[in-house]
Amino acid sequence: MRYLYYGLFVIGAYLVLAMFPLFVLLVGPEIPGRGFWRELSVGLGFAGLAMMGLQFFLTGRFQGITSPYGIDVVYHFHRAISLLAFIFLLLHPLILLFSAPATLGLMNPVAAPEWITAGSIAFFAFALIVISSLYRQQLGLSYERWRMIHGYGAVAAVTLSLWHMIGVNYYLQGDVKRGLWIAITITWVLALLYIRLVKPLLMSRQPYTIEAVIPERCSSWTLILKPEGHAGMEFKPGQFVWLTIGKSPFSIREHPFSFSSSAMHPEKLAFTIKELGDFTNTIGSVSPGTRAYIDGPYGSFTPDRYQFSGYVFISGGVGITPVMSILRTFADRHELRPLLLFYGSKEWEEVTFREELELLQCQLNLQVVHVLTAPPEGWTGEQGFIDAEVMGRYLPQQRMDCEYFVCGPLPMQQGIRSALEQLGVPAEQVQSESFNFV
Amino acid sequence: MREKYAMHLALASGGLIFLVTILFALVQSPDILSASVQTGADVPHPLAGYESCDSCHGREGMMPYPVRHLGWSNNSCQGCHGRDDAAAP
Repeated sequence: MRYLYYGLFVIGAYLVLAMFPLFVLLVGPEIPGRGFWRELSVGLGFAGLAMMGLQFFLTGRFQGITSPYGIDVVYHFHRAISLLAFIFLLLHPLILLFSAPATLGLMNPVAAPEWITAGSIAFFAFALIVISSLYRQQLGLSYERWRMIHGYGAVAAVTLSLWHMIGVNYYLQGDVKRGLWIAITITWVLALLYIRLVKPLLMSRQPYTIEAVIPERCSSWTLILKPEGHAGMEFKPGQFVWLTIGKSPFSIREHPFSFSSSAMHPEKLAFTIKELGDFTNTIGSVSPGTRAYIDGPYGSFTPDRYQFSGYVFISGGVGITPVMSILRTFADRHELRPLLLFYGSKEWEEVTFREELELLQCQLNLQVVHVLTAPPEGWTGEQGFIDAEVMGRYLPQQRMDCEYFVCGPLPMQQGIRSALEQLGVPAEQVQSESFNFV
Repeated sequence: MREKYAMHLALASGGLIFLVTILFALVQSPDILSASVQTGADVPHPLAGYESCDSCHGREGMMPYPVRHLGWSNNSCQGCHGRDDAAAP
């Protein structure tokens, strides 16, 4: 319940902050309206900009904002609400042109006042941000270049929008209202500065050294990190961080990875990473002794949020990583509750951590069910995909009292969720995180 | 599921903000709910023969209107600015 109320508070605060700048316009001496459509156009412009400005907070990885929902939900919300804000901003000139076609002449940058041109450029900057986010891969943009466009483009768009609003000089007449809007804009930009300057500065004071790079099965590598001159990082099992390796913490080259180590050992952190892309393909060549920086921990994919009488884990491929963190933590805590792991892999030789899982079955009240899509000859275990039938054979009778953790590719997550629904498991007891943003 | 949840949350929030924006537009255009009210200053000259307000009051005219009037057409001027009968022609 605590997370529910706090979540309501966070979304309520978001709505108040998104609408506050609109209410500011009505404060003070009465400003006559100029017809419904024109005022709707203006209102959408202000509201759209306020929503865009708040994105700096949504993407700032502030624990206070992410903790009730999980950072993946906040990022998906950011993506969806940005599209709506962009539609608002698109409607602003469209309604204006529709209700007063003479304004079309204002679009000519040669003859238009500077503040009109500033508004037009701001709109195109927002369009660039949205399009580059929706179609990054189709446009062949690297993650780093996309982040640069996203960050610098957002600051430029918001600043130009402020210039546009002040230039129009209708609702922002008077020092108080103008000052308030400038203060609001500065707050947005400060949030970005916190992310890009203050946070990296804090990270630079808590560096880590890569102690070992251990090859694992299935083209995966485990990085062992030791803190340099500090106690390390407290985290909950199943959480993740943004990791910067061999670069300055001010670099925009950082990537999210789940802990695979026990949360009981903040002084020795491990991340198991599968070779899946440009950056992860280079993990194996990272030299021990390389410096690393960590931003985190984040995520709500952890059994430490709610108490259940048992836990069921369903993972596919490298999705085993956060589950290993949970199981290792449980082993360190001498956990007695029943645990069940469904672990989907292609081949037996590709099963990452399979030897350690055998050991963990002895230490914990744990049953591991391997499900292989390409089993070896003579395989007597489960084969194919993890579905309702497979799970139904192993789930305990009191399955409603368990919490479920699903980690793997998005199609697998969707399949498992519907399978669990068929088995009567309430959706709110199924935890998963998805990071397929751009 | 979590993506859908976030999308529903965003749609609900965006919808609410849109409704408040409509409310803002309504508050600022009471004429849509009641009879039109003139709020601008009276026109200090005859209107007959001077229908093309932009000729003198456009941004390039002799007596340009304030910047905030940009976008209004000639037909809309008298919506707010009436004839001051006492004014000299």
